[in-house]
Amino acid sequence: MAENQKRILEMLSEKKITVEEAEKLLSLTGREDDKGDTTAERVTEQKRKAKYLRVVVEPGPDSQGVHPERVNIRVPVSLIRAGMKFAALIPPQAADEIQEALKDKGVKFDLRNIKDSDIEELIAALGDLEVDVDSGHEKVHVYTE
Amino acid sequence: MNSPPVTMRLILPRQGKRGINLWLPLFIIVPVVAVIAFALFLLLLPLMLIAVVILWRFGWVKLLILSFPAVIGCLSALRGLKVDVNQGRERVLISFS
Repeated sequence: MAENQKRILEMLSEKKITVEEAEKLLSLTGREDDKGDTTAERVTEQKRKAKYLRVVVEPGPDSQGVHPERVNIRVPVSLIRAGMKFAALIPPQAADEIQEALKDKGVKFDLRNIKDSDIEELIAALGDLEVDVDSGHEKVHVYTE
Repeated sequence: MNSPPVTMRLILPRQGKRGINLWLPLFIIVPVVAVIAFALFLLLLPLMLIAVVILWRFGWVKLLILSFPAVIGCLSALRGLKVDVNQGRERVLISFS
C-alpha cells in the first residue's frame, strides 16, 4: 500500500493531479488498507476459508485400456474437523504406540492433546494445499476449494 | 455445526445384475429412525443400565458414551461429501447433499 501512496505523491509533485484528487486517492488507498481488500488478500482469504478438499484422478495421455478410471472425491472440511475429534477417543495403549511410531519417524505430535486451535490451524493450512501429479497414465490433482 | 444432509444418492454396480441406484430422502428417514431408536432406547433402558454398571470398569462403555457426540458431529458434517468413481459403464457414487 505504501507503493500506491508514493505513486500518488509523485503524481502530485509532477502536477499530474490536483491536491483534491490526491486527497481522494489517498483516502481510497487508506480504506483499502483498513479493509485489506486487495485482490491478493481476497484470494488468500478464499484459500484459507477452504470448504472442500478435492481429489480428482483423470486418465492421462498414455493411459491404456478401453475404460479408463475417473475419480472425483469431494470431502467437506467440516467432516475433517469433526473426524479429528475422534483422536481424543483413541484408547491410551493405542495412543502410546501411535506416538512412539510417530516419534521414530521424527514427528513430534501429541495425539491426545489436540486442541481446537491446532485443528483450525491445520485446516487453515489446507487452504494452501495443491498437489499435481502427472504420470502419463493418469493425472492426480489434490486441492481445496 | 453444519446443517445435516437432507438427501443421499447411492449408485453401486452389481455383478451380472442391474446396479443399485438409490435416492434417499434423509429428511424423512432420519426423523423416523430417530423416533424408533428413541422408543427402543426407552424400552431397553433398564437392561442397558445394568450392562453399563457391569461393563463400566472395562472402559468400553465410557468410550462408547463419549464417542456419541463425535459420531453425531461426523454425521452432521457429511453434507457435501461426494465420492464418484467411474470406470466405463460401471459407476460408484456416494453423495450427500
